[in-house]
Amino acid sequence: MMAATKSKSKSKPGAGRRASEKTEKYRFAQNLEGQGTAAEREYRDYALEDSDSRGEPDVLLDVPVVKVDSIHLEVDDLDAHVELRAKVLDLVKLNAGVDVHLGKLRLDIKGVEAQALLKVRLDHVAAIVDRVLTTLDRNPELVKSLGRTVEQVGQGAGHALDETGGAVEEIGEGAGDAVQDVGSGAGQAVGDIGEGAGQAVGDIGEGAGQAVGDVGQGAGQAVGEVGEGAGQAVGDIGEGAGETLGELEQVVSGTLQSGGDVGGSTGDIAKLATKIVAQQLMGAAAEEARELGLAATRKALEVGERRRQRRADELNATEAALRKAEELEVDIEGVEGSGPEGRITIRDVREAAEA
Amino acid sequence: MARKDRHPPERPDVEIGASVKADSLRFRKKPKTEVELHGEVVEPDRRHDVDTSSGSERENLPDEVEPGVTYRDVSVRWHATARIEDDEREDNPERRKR
Repeated sequence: MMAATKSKSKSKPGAGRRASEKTEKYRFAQNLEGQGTAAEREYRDYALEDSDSRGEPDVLLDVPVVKVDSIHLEVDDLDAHVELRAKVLDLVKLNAGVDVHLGKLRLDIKGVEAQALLKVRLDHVAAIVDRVLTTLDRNPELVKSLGRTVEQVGQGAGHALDETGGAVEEIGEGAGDAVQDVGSGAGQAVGDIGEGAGQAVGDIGEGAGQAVGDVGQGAGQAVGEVGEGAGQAVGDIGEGAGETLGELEQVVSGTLQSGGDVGGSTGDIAKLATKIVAQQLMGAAAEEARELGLAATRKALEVGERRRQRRADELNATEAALRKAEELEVDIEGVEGSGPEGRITIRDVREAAEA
Repeated sequence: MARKDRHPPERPDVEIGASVKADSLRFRKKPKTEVELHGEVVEPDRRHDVDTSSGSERENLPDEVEPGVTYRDVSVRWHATARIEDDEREDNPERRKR
């Protein structure tokens, strides 16, 4: 009896070897990485090309390599829409999208390996927002002419900085909401797949959705705190990135919808693959939500730092003096500088506060 | 039999890529597909177009597939990119020349 068991164990395909050393058939069924199938080599080439010549993206949604034995696919008039949208108050609106239409499609495909990547870089979006805010700083009269938007930004405030400071809190909340939306959206999307592929995946979706929602709260809080600390319009980036994140929901749900279609029209192998895809997507979505929250916070800090530096130069003050003036609520424009070439220092600000 | 037709802009703001490899592929009917890319950026005093591109690299699969034919060792990579057109952007090649 023991011998039989031992014999069975020995004959198990790929047993006792690392995943990459197991047979291709075994790896395929278990969706494991190998040492270099064509799809995996292409994936590595693709990633390498990006890091070499285009710089690291702020957001990377990555479904590395998914393997399915066979798919029979029937599609009638499938429309897919993926759009990236960013909006900073009513001042800057950005959208970029893809519309895909598939008419009637009847397809048999065997030995499938697939992967997908979404990359977003926020540098130039941040630069545009920074430019708009700088224009407002220098031309505060524009604020009055912007009507409803500006009323929202600066209720009762006389200075542009105060106004943007008010907006920052909203932005912090906005970024948090957006990330939460991603969480619930991704959770819902995976839940949809769960209906086709099994209740277990739905449960994964709910759990992961909740996790991403929690990340969202954290990211929103972080951006909000950045905004409050800076007292400037840095958090606007947060809203832009936050809404971008919100739109990632569409990407994720669109991708998952495709997976659902595949799973619904195939046998057990496809259902298993669909579950694996769903798990990978959820992992990726959760990770990207976290990364995007961090990216939004990082961008907000970068922009805030650059704006502070510019304002300090304009006022002939040190950055530390500017921070101290904000902390002590001293009007730095009324402070006389005692540093080299009349530069305003921390000591000048302290003395002005005590006077 | 590999074919390339993509010309993505330098350092796009958004990239979407997908790759599929299959041992065999057979269409029962000739597929009809349409892909449209769009985008714009609006600021208070200006508007930017978004430069979009898409393309695919195929191996062992013709542009026009025939129903009922089984294609083997097929590989398709699809790529779409979007980049905001703005003369003032820091990574604008024209700006770097100035």
